[in-house]
Amino acid sequence: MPKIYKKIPGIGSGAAGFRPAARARLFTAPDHLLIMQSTFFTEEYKRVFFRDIRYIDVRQTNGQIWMAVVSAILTLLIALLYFVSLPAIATVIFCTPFAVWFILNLYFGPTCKCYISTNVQTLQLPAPGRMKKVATLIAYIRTQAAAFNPVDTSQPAA
Amino acid sequence: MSASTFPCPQCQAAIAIDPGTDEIDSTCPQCAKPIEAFFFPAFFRPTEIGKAASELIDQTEASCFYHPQKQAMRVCDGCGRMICALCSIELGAEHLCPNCLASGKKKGKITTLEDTRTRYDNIALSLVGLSIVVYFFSIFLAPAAIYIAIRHWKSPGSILGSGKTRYVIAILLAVAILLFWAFVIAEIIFHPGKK
Repeated sequence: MPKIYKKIPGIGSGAAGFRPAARARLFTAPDHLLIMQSTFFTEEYKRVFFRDIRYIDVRQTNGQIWMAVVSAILTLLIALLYFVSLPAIATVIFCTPFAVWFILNLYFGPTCKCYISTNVQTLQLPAPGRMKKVATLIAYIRTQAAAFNPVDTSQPAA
Repeated sequence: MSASTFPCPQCQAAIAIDPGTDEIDSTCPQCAKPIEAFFFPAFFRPTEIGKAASELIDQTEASCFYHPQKQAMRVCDGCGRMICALCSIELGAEHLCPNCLASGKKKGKITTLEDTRTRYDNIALSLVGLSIVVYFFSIFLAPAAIYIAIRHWKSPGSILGSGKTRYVIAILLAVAILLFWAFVIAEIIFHPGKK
């Protein structure tokens, strides 16, 4: 069977993050979006056709703040261990991942949740998780939706 | 809900949206919570109402296979039967009758109707992994992994298009485990006193 599903360019599938049991991922086909909820043993699919998408509602969340707080605390705690007993090189090694997490989190910007709505359902999209990428998703869906919602140019009868 | 009202995500208050609006980035007039939403052509399109089947006026007209008193509107793309507007189900570019739709879903022929799949390749791989962790039970788990891999070799994998790699890995590891057990048992039988 040919592969029809791919990641949305510039958005990804939303595979990253802490989702131990089940994770949702977003893919696109020529005429619809696929939201795949998968455990390791099963996959469930929900399809949203471009012609049916009514609106996308974006809600900013506090994830960035929480991640910044957690990563900063962890970085500081490990850095403080240097003054107790940890060798300098070990401090650097243990601090680096959390410091990188802190910096990347700031770089990626505020977190958000996106909900996509049709006439019959509203679903949370697994991606994007950051406000910065919302514009890319919207532009992509607008392009696709336009192809499946041709503008009515017929003139009314005189 | 009318075509041009948007429900506030927080308080569900209906917010009127002017035709042609691409997006709103403001606050809800009722709950004052921030709202950011992007609208697409389907938002302003009136909801389509399903067509009713027309009654058969003249007996010389073609009638629906399932409703003989109704006028046939088109031919089913699956079975070729004449069907009325009520029976014609639009699925992408095709129009199918309810029977073809049901059988197509049951047999897995219509991919867009599939809503779940079992990853037998991952199950087989997990059994092998489990047999490494709880090695004493591997004598049962490894054959089970081989059975699942062979039994479901042709079952559809992930809809994203996974190959047979996991099946192959599961079978190879399971065979290796079984060979190990065969070696252990042979040692016990043929060299019972050897340590």
